[in-house]
Amino acid sequence: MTGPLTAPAAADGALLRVEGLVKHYGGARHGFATPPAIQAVGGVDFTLKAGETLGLVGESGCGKSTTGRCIIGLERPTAGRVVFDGQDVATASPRQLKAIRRDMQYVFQDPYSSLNPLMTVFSTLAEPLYLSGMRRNDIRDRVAELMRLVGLAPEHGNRFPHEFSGGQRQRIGIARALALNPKLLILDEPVSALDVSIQAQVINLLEDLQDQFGLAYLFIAHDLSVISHICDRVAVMYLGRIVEVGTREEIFERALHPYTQALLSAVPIDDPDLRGKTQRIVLSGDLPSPARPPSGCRFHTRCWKAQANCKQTPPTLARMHSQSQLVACHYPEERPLVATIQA
Amino acid sequence: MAPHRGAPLLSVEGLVTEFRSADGIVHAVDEVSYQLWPGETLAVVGESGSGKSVTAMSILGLIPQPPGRIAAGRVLFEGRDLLTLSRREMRAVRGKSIAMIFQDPMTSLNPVLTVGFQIAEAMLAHGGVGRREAHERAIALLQTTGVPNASERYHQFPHQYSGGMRQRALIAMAIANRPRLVIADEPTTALDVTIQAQVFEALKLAQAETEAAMILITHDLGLVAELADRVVVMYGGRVVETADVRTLFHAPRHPYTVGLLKSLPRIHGRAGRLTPIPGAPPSLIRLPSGCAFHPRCFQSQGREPCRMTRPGLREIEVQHNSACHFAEELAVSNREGAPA
Amino acid sequence: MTIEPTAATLIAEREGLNVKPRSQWQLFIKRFLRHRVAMVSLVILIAIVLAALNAERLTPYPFDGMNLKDSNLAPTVEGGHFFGTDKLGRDYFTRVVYGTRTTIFVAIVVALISTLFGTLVGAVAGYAGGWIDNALMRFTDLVIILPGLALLMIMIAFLGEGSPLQVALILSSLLWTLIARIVRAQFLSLRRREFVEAAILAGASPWRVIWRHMLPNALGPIIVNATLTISTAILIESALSFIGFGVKPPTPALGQLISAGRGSMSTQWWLVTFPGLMIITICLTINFIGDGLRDALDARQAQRS
Repeated sequence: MTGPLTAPAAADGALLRVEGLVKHYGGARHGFATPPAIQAVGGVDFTLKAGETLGLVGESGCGKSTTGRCIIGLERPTAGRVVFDGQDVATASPRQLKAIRRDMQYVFQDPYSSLNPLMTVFSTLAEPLYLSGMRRNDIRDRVAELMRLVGLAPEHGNRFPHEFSGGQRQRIGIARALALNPKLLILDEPVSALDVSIQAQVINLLEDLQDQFGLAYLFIAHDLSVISHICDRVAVMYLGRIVEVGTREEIFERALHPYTQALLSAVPIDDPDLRGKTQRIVLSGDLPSPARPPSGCRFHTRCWKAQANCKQTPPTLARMHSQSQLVACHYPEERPLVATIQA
Repeated sequence: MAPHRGAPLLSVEGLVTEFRSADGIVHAVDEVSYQLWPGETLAVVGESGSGKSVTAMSILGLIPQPPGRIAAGRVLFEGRDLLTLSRREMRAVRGKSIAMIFQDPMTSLNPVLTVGFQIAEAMLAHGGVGRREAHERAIALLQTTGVPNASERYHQFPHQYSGGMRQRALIAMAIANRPRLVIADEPTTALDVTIQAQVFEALKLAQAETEAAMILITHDLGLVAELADRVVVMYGGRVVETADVRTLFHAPRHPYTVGLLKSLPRIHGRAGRLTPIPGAPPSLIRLPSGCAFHPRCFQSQGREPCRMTRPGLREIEVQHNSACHFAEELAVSNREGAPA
Repeated sequence: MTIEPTAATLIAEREGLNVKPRSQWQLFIKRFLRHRVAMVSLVILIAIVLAALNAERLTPYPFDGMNLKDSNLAPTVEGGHFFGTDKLGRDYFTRVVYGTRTTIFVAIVVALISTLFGTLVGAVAGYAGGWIDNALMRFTDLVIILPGLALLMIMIAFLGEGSPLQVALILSSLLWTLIARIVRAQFLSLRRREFVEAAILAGASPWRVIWRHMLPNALGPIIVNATLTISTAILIESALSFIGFGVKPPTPALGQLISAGRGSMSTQWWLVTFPGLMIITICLTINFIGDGLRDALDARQAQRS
């Protein structure tokens, strides 16, 4: 196997660069009425370096999965660029897409629906190899290698997906994504459908694979503890926009955006001794509809700090303290949530 | 914290619930016993297939028969065995003295009736209030659980509510008749984190208002740490450990509980590599012999008692029970590598 | 509260009722074999089909062999005229058996052609989506709203010399629409399934995705509806024959036999009764088999989710 670490990267060292990504659904005339378009992603920028893990975190409807799907070309972006390894995914031809997807693969959330129930594990893993033109004997060896790599016995290749547990099925999904030695895996909620005791197994496997092959991960999840465990950098999304990006320490210890702070404080803390000792921010109201996002800062309808200008001017992602932390808020400010806990 | 004095409100004794399936008998609940005292919050923790939900369904008489069957046991609630009640008597208990909150609020709300009407109806059905009073109390309940503009929301239909608001409406409905016991089955699992926080608050307020005891069925240990007084840990349809919440988190005495706590990624303070429990949860049709957890257990390491003898739940310390042959050894190893 | 059993069942399933399912198709076949009514129907239907296929061996008479001195005989064991004879003295048992053969032939050809064509249209529409889907589905709607029976009569009157194959082709041209819509719906939902997207990401061509991943997973509903199309085709063919637009004499078909016998129903009851009973039996058994297949399939789907 060739190490993908030697990949030629873009000038600034970014393997993946997302610029002004916008994705709207619908909005086309439907009979007589024209419903407003769902603005799933409303202008997202970020970069991802080779070998790095970037977490994309947010609640349902924030556009994190749509972002991932646009990056790999399962959806056509409405606007913006997705540059992977120097190639624009959004304008790639089907043939170019096929080539790009040798280096960029996807792991799906639901281990039950991500495997064809009528195909054996062997056929499932052999498919990408066969389609890439590999010879029959080599396929046999590579499938066995892939199965061992994710901790499955190669003898079980002739079994059907339903004969495996959820965790094992997710391993199969990971093996399929690894088949062609990609440089980047987009992991869309890869452990959220799994039982607690199994989650840790899969997270460890992902970490091992990253160490072994120098993979980059775009890790999409809503579970902050999983994100905090596995990610080098974290981007927090709210209603189709990134509100804050930073290293793990910056996001989890020195968050500046009120939404990030609310998200962190909402996570139940698994230590009964700290019960009642942390200040929980309970946001009022529900998520606004992505069909009619609020004007100005999209978070202003639920923000306790919102001022008049928050309703009018959308804040841009601006650099804070360090080179790495960016926040899109007119009134960024640290809030000592974590300090209380550590005390 | 609730004192364990006096008679328990609910006492589950040796409950066995089975399901027939094409592949054999599914032993969903296997000799489960636990008690609940008035006003207490008891968390029943376990992964899918641990039997935690089926136990609650059995208590409520909601096991579909067939294919289900309650093969043995008693469920004493305020001195009466719920398993011997007629369907009609059971209905009177459900919704009046015992209320329930399910994971998916949409299955519990009638889509063609307004939310307010359904709450008022719950009160009228169990008597004691007039129509006008029911109406007013329903609005007050919606307010208590944090539904904004309650008097307008009263007249809206479930589909006009967001997921978090539906769950709050369901909590309002559950406490409408001032139940003595609320059973909440994964009440926040389907919700987003910030909405979960709202629903917790609603649950706490609802419990404070009615002083009801609560059984909280969940797989989320964070939720347990935040809400529970005592915890029952289930594995493979059996109870493996019961303790008060602090003891459970700081000095667990069952290898499964220890493994579960160690395998959790933590949001504050990264612990390096996670320590997963090896293997997968057992099949409820063919449970491992002896202790159901022994094939995955770091403590057992294939020792004979674990493979041969099913361990009973026994008191290790005061109010702390474990179903492990070697629970005493864990007291030592805890101090070395305890989580938290 | 009517919702309780649902919630309870859901939880029961979540708690491990489907711990060890076997292969999807095995389960499907096992459930079907356990469906008693469907199995009895299947046995009866197989007997009828075997009889129709072996008509020559079953009866000594040719289907158009006239014998005017034995005309209008009531059912009798004498001469083996179990179903009697018609006014030309043709053995009516022979007529009914051959008529059954014609009718079943027409029905099976209709089911095959309309299933193949309908599946093709539905699969392309459901996979491609967008304007292709729109165009194909508007065309399907158009065929559905056409006044079917009248159109069939016109087509047969103008095009047909009334051979069984021709009748079958004309019937198929209208009966593919139901299957097209069912397959389209299946494909629309399969298109969103993650394993289909994974195949696309692996570099599979559209045809490969349709053929290897989507079609096999849509086969259940297609089979059920093909089965039900057989009975629909029998009923329509009989109706057409009855009003004189079906298979032309002297080739017997069941509807045509009823039509010929209806004038003398009061005196020669057997002329209408036996072909009528045959139509009812065939259609009932096919519908029961269809129900059995559908139940088996539903169980399979319940297990999967």
